[in-house]
Amino acid sequence: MALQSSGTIKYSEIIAEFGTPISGGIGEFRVSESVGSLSNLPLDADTCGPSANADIPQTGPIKFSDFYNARLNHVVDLHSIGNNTTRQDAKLRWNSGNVHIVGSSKTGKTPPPDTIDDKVIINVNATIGSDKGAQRNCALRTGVWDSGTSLKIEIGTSGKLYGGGGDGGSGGSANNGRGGDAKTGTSALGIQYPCTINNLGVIQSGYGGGGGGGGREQQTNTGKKSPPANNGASGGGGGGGAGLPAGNGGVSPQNAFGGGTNGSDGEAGSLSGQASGGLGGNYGADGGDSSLVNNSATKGDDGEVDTNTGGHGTGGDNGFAIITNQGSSPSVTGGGTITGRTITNTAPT
Amino acid sequence: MISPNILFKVIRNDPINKSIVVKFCRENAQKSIDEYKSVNISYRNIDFSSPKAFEDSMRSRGNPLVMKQLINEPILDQNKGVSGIFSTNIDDYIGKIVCTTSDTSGSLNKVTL
Repeated sequence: MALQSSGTIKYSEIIAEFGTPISGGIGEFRVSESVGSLSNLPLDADTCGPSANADIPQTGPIKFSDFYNARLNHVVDLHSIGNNTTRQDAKLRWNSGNVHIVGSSKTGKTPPPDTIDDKVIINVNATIGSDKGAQRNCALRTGVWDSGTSLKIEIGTSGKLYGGGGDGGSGGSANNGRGGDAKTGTSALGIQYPCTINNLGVIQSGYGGGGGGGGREQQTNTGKKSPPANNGASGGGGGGGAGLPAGNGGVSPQNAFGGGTNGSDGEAGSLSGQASGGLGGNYGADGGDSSLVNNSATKGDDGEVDTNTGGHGTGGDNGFAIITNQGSSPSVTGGGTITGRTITNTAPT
Repeated sequence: MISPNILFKVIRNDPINKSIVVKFCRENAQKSIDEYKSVNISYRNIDFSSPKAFEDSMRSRGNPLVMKQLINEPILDQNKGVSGIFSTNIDDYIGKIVCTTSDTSGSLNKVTL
C-alpha cells in the first residue's frame, strides 16, 4: 500500500511499508542500491513527498514528510537470467521469488504477498527470444498485476527482446507440386497491464519467412521423330525469417527427373537480416525472400509467381515488436531501438 | 537461342548450412548485377570437383534465371509494336513497328502430301 499523501504519518506506517531497519532508525532508509542494469536506486523515486514529485533522500536530512506517497519498489529479475532464454512472463518470475525489494539491504524485507499499490520495475538486461508459433507469442510478457500496481519496464543496454522468425515454405515437388506457405514470425514484448517503458536496449519483432516456389513438370520432344520425355524440376524453398530463434530456410525436394534439375533450399534466417529464397530448378520457380527487417513490412515475399508451375506458397506474416491489450501504445523513453510494428487492443500470448 | 555470357557474384557463403547466396545477370545487362535479386543455392546443387565443373554448374544454375531476367526486361515505349501479321503486302508495314512472338504451342504445320 502507498503511504498517505498528507497529515500525520507514523514511523510504524513507514516500517509496515518498507520493513524495519536491521540497525538504526529512519536514516537507514537513505539507500543507494544497484540492481541489474539499475544503479543508485533510492527507496522510492519520482513520486514521493508532499508534492509527489521527489525521491526518498539518499543523503542528508530525511523527514517523515519525505515518505508521503511513497511505495515499496519491487525489481523483477530478468537481468541475471542468462542470455538466449525464451518466453518469459514477468509476473511468473515475481511469483517464483525472482525479485529484489529495494531497501532490503537495510531491512531484510521479503516480498509481500501481493503488489497492490506498489511499484514494480521489470528489469531486462539479457537476450530473450520468443519461439516459432503463433504470431502473438512473445519473448516477454508483463503478466497481469494486482490492482494499483505501478508498472515500469526498464530495458538495459544488454537487454534484448526478439520475436522468432518464421520458417520458409518448402519448394514444390518436381511433379507440379505447389510451393509451401511460410510460417509467421512471432513477437517481442507483450503488455498485459498498463505500464511505461524505458528502453536502452533492443525490442525487435520476429519476421515472416518467404513462400516456396512451385515445381514444374513438362514434356519435351513432342515432335514426331522422338518419343516425348517427361521432365520435372523442383521449386526453391523460401528464406527463413529473422528473429530469435531465426526461421529455417524452406527445403526444396530433391526429386527432379528427366532433364529437370533440383531446386535449392531457402537461406537460413538470421537475427536481423533478410534471407534469400532458394533458386528453383531449371523449370521450377524460385522461393520468396523472407521479410525485410524494418518498421513497416508486414510479411515475407510469396514464392515466385509462375503459372506454369504448381503454384507458389505465400510469405509468412510478421510478428510485432510490441503487442498491448491496452487501447493505446505505451509511453517509451530511452535511446534503444524498436524494430517492427506495434499493435494495440490485442492480447499477447 | 544462344545463351549469353553469365555473370555471378557470391554475396554470402554459409558453410554451416552449406549454401551460398548469389546474384546472376547476363554480361550485357543494362543494369548493375547488384540490382538483381539474390538467390540461395545449396552446395549439393553445385559441382565443386574442379574449377571447370564449378564454372559449368554455376552457369547451368544461372542460365534459367538470366533468361527469365531477359524475358522480363521492360520494353521501351519507343519499341512497343503491334502484334500480328495479317497480310503479306509489305506496304502495309512501312513505318510501323511489328512485334513477332515466338510460338511455344509446339503445333506443327499440317503438310498435305
